[in-house]
Amino acid sequence: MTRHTDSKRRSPEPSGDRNRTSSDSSRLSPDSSADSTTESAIPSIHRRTFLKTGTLAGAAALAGATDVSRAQTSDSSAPERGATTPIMTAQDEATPPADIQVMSSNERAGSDYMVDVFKSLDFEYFCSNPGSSFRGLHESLINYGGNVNPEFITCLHEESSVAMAHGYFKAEGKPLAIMAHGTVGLQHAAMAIYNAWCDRVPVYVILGNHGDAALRRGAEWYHGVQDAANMVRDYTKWDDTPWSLTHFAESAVRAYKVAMTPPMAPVVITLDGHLQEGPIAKNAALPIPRLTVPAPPQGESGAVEETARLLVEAEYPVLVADRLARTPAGIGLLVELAELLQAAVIDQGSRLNFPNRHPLSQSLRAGAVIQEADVIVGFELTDFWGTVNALRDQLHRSVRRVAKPSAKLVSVTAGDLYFGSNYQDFRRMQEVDIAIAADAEATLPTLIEAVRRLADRSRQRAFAERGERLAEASAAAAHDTRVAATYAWDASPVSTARLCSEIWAQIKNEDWSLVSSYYSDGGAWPRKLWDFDRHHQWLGHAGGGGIGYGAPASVGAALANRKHGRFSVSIQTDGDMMYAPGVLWTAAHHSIPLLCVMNNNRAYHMEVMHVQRICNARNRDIDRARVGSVITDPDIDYAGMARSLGVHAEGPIADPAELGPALERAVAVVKSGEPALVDVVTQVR
Amino acid sequence: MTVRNVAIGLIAAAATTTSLSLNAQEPTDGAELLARSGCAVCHGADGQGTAAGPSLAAGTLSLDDFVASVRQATRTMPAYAAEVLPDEDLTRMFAFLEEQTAEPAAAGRADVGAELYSAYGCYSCHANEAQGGQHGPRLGPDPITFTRFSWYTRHPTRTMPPYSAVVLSDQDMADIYAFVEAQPQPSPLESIPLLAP
Repeated sequence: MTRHTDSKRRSPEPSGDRNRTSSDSSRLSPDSSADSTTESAIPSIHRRTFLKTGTLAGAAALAGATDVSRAQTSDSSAPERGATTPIMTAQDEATPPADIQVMSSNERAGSDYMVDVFKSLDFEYFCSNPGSSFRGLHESLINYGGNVNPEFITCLHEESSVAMAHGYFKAEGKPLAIMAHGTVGLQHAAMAIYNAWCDRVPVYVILGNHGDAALRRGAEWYHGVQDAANMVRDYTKWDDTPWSLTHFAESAVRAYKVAMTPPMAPVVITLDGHLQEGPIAKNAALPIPRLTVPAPPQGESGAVEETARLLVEAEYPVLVADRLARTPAGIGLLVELAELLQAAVIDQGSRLNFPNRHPLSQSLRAGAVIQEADVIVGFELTDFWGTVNALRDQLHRSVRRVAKPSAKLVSVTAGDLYFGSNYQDFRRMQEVDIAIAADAEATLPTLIEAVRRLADRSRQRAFAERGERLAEASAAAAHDTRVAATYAWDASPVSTARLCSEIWAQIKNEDWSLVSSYYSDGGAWPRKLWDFDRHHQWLGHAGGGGIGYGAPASVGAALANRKHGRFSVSIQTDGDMMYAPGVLWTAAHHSIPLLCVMNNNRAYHMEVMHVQRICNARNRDIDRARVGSVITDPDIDYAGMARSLGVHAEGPIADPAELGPALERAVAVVKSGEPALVDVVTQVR
Repeated sequence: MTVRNVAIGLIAAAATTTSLSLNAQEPTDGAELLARSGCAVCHGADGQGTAAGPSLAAGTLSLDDFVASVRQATRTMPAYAAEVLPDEDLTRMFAFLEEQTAEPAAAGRADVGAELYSAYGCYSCHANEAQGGQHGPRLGPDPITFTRFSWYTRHPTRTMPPYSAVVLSDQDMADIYAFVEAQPQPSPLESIPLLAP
């Protein structure tokens, strides 16, 4: 707990400082930075001067200066340009420094109190790439906090920190905190924060910053900023910059509360360096505010009743869910409503909302049921317009309605309660007949109750007949899908259907969790061929379309799954992996078990398709469409890269016959508690 | 190619058709039926398709599906009620269209087609062996007729990018068709244990 300060940067003892109350002592004076000569007015840094010998060699070397004014006015103490740095001498080592500053036994750091507050919020982990602007909090976490709840997870990129938190939340249902510099760290983190915001996932972002320009070290000028959160304010839900520890505690708890209230989203707390590092009296009365997460908003009773009436009277109602299942309970509620009505269900997949093998699941034939529907209820849809309309992406774009013009549309979403301006993830406005601005999962119980009340026997008979037809249709669609998987079964490179079938064979008897399959066509096959019925088995997508989500989100989700004994598997695209592959080291370093199977098509293939589309539209050189979008020459050795980061790895595998045994070996490694990677060279689609 | 793809036409055709009584004069053959009903306006005199409407020639549709696509037309094609275009006329028209199967103008070369299939980016959506994927349907084996294959490639009705004759010659088209036609049949579903439900 001893820290030696650089005496050349040391301020003299502030007059009157000792007369401050403990709470005052943790508050920076707003006037203190007005004049460099008033550095002595910095009240948060108590200084204790005492002498030590022997081990304080570093401080001894700087002992020539005793206050700022002398250091600033005496050129003789500064080494001459080009002079050789003097070596340490026995005399130097024996000479005690004039002034050493450490906390006394009656004090503790402001960041210790911060750790108390963070522990009260039950954070399991802080993901971070280290940074000096939050060194105070870093030290408190690992020493004062014991590096347990929260534990520091070492990340090699801030984008990885945030994406790990993103994946962790979707597996665990509670947020994870990340720490970053208020400038350079946040700039790295920004894309991942945007993804989380678009996906309405709470990430608790803690920024370090040195607001007081009068006391910034050299690097802190680059790492310090007037308004750190400004950079991400368009795509975070709330932020604050506390100026006292009391202020911090309230803001820290408030931030958690805001983040977790639907619609959920990232929040930012900016922690001043001095507030972290300055000592406070050990017995300072600093309470920790109690956290009460608000109950999510429920739909207005009249609108819910009217929706129930529409559903009961409909001949072909369709329930469409995207981010409905905020918790595992959401799946059971949607199943209950669907079975009550014997209604078709389409799961659009931002969360696992409905078991994919349920007879009422019509996700494989979504287009057909939307065209047939007379009532469509959208639960937490990210794109209602796109659900009932289609945009044709040709030289001259056109749109058309897919659903019947007469179909009644109902929207139930907390998205109506909050969205941004500059970033327009709200999509095109869809005219609807009933709009319920509420959390869908919280609204389902009352909707179910209303449907149950309104459905008389004659309607129930109609429901049963409808259910039989839907079950036959879904069974036929599932069979057709399996037949489709037989084509190119033995092809090399490996077909994405074969890839996913081989993975499924290895994991289906485990308590598995597909933690990411972002931008992978291999990711589409599991929802056709695997058996999903639990919330943690499918964690959706990146939200904002920012590539680089898949690898770190997988590791974050696997971190959450670890304590539950779940088997985490990701289908990892090559382009996504290369944004921040260092997260594999994080998985190895922290023994995070994850089976990472590369869907390696050696391209940013979606971009190949886009460029090709433009070539077609312009009637020229389609065969050049791959320029700029393929990742070949040289081919990247993902297995070699993973091994260098401490991860068991095999590949590249292009022969499908070799895939099963390689996966089996990797599964054994993952079951032993470590990550493993299998690089599979796949077809592009 | 689905029913919906086939059932595309222009509203203009409807204007000439809705007041037409085909029963007033018994048409003599399918070609005349196509012309008098207004179908030829969008689908061509022989049903081979134009820029305004897809080929109807010898497709994968059954007679029932063909009738349904006319009665319950989607998108821009007008629906034809039985009072305007009776079932018996549609049956005659269907028989005529079934005879319109067109062969490639040039013989296709599967080996050349394999290279072109890759170079022209067909694999991007339809996968390396033409087995299809998330962004494009399976093309082979057992492809749709060359007439419809060729027409749709030139005039895609959905999101597939169009391939004009400037970038894809008729010979190229025939070669690519030969490639997808030459794809091997897959093993039976029951013979692949990994695909058991």
